[in-house]
Amino acid sequence: MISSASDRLTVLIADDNVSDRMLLSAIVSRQGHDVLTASDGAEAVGLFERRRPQLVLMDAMMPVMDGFEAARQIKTLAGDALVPIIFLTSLTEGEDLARCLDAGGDDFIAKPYNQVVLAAKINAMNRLRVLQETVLHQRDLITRHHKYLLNEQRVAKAVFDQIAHSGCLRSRNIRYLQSPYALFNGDLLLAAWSPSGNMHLLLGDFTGHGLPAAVGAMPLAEVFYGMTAKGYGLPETLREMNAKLKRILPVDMFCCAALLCLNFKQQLVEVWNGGLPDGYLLHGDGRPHTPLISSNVPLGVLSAGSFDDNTQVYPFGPGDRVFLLSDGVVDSTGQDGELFGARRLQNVLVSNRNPALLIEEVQWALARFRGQARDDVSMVEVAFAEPDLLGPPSVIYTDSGDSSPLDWSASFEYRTETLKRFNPLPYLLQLLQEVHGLRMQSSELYIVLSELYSNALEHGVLGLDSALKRDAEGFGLYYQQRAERLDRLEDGFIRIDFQIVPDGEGGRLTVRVQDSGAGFDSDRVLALPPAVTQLSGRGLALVRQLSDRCQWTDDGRTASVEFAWEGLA
Amino acid sequence: MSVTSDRSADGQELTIIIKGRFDFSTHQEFRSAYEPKEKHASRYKVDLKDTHYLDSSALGMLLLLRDHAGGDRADIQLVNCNNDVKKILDISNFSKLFNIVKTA
Amino acid sequence: MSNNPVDFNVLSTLRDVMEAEYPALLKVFISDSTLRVNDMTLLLRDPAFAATSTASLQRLGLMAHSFKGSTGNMGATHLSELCLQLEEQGRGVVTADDARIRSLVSQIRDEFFLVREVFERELELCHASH
Repeated sequence: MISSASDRLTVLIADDNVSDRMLLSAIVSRQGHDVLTASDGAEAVGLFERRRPQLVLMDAMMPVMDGFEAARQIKTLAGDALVPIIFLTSLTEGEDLARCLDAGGDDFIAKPYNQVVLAAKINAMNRLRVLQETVLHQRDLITRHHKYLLNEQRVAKAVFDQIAHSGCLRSRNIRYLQSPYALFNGDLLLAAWSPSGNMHLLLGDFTGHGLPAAVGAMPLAEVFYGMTAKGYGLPETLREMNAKLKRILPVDMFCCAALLCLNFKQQLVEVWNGGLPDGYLLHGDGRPHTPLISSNVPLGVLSAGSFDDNTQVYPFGPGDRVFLLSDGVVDSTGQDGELFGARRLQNVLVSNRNPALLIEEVQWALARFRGQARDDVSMVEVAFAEPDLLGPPSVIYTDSGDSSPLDWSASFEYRTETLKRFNPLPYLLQLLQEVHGLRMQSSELYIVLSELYSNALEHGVLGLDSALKRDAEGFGLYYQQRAERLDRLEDGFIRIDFQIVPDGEGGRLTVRVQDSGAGFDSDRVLALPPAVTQLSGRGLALVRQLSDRCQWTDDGRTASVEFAWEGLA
Repeated sequence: MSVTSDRSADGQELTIIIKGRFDFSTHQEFRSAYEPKEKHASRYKVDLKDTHYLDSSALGMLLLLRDHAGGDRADIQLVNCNNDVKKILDISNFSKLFNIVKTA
Repeated sequence: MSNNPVDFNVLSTLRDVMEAEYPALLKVFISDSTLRVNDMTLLLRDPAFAATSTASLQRLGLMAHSFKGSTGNMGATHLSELCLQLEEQGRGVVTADDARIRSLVSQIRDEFFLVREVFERELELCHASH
């Protein structure tokens, strides 16, 4: 409760001189205050403890306990609250006045008393007292709010962690550093398996701090996990994340982010960077690292029409790693205001010998540079791993399968404009999931479908030469051409036919994928030795390996594969 | 830190000059520099000659200005960007949203 | 300085401030001050008192200091001034001088009797007006 400056105060008067005490009591009472009197310091301290007056008028020289000691004790008892003490004194020596201040005195009034001056001093002191009371009240309020806020953050973080940790950040090939409260610095790190066994990883950095920076994380994570699980690729996921953030965030808020798709089977990494500092592709064979430069506007800024979902694709094999970081790393400032900067970071990357210690080494370098920790530093390093060693968790289905359809066929034809911007695979996979018997091999099914679809699109419709992908340079060129040709595409189609037939207790699926391209000499390509197919032909080998039967007809324009399953117990 | 603004004689162009740090503390000043009572300008210039620091909330404020000036149709030049400022704008690829002119 | 032992302007202010308590204040001052003056006189008669003893001087200084305050408040200007001189002797502001101290205490006594007479007359006036 805060008293106002005009309130009636309780004033303690301590003076050993009885007539002075009487006179002063009369003056203070006339000013409308309540008066307590004490005739020595000890009595004054006792009265203060019992009655808690708001202001004290204290004679300096008193028997038993003098005013200085009494003032000291009263100030201690008052704690944080301001109880102004005005010394009543005919002392004239500077040294004595200094003693009054040292003891905690706030002002003096000289004898003989002047009523007007005394009233003015009491009022001035009371204003200070009220001010202090207000400050203390606000401090307590802030403390209380802060406690609430911390609790809210704890709850929000717990809820969010449930979502964030549903991914695969704990995989053995991922190492990362994040403050426990990164969410409230706007930093976000997510990883998840796609149905085909690719790993998707997102490092995001929302603008701002605190709750505003955290609110966008939830919808972003939802889109990321939802679309990754359904088998969408980076471009679709990026478009959806951008559209969602654009829709829900205020104009001045956005999310700098880098998104990776790590394809361990085909040994590729696909990268999109919008607004994060350069990430790095670190090569196991000692080649200089490849910077993963931000070439896009951050998520949540552009409208769907102008958003650029183009990704870069790089070979990614044994010994290779991708390193991503938030701007808290390079923007750390040293004591002289200098930035840590990309140069210092690169020095750490170059001198790193033990990959397992890279993040620690960056931390040490930061600590040496600025001597104090910042809590908005996020780093993640993801290494190549043999697919068998990681093994995406199997999907668990909740329905019984009794209503599974077992004798049907369907045909789809995707034409030019659709090919440019639509990925039909998640939808098709979803459809096939209805067939209970296929669920056991949904991952293989997805990989084979993806392969056949991208072969039909890239080599068939777009006529890209897979031989380009023989070296890293050609690799870049290949994906550049892919984007250009797709953009210019005027005529083309891909047809996909499914046929499901029951077979004893089980059944059989036949998939035919036909494209409008020029076809290819399937016998020759399939006969190539594995070494040649290192980067380019991997797809076909996978298809052969994962499906029960496959063949190419129609001069390589049509691929047919079969998946069969046994009866379910 | 200070934000001043200057309108061309024909009222069509508004120049906003930012000195010192361009960060969240500038928010109110920056907004009031382009949200006047009179009619909108048709062209905007943000002069960053004496801006030595720019953070992500400054980028957010530039987006607010862009929105105010017509979104995708906005005509906004960021002029006199020194190297540090340019680097920050580059990382976020703001050249796709604004006309960025480097220090001469 | 006037020849009046008490400043009548101060007295009229006290009358205003104290209202009904005015006679009580006068009585309290007279009795308290009588004790103080006696204490001072007794202190000087004490064979242990010496102008060279710090303890003696300190005690005297405190007495004078306190008396200076109350006499000042009551408008006994000259008396308060004498107290200040005595305080300065006691506190070592000036070099303590036994003869000077004794002379000052005797002046304080004499001046106090004059002041007391004024206040006693005031008291009679108060009674008369009631």
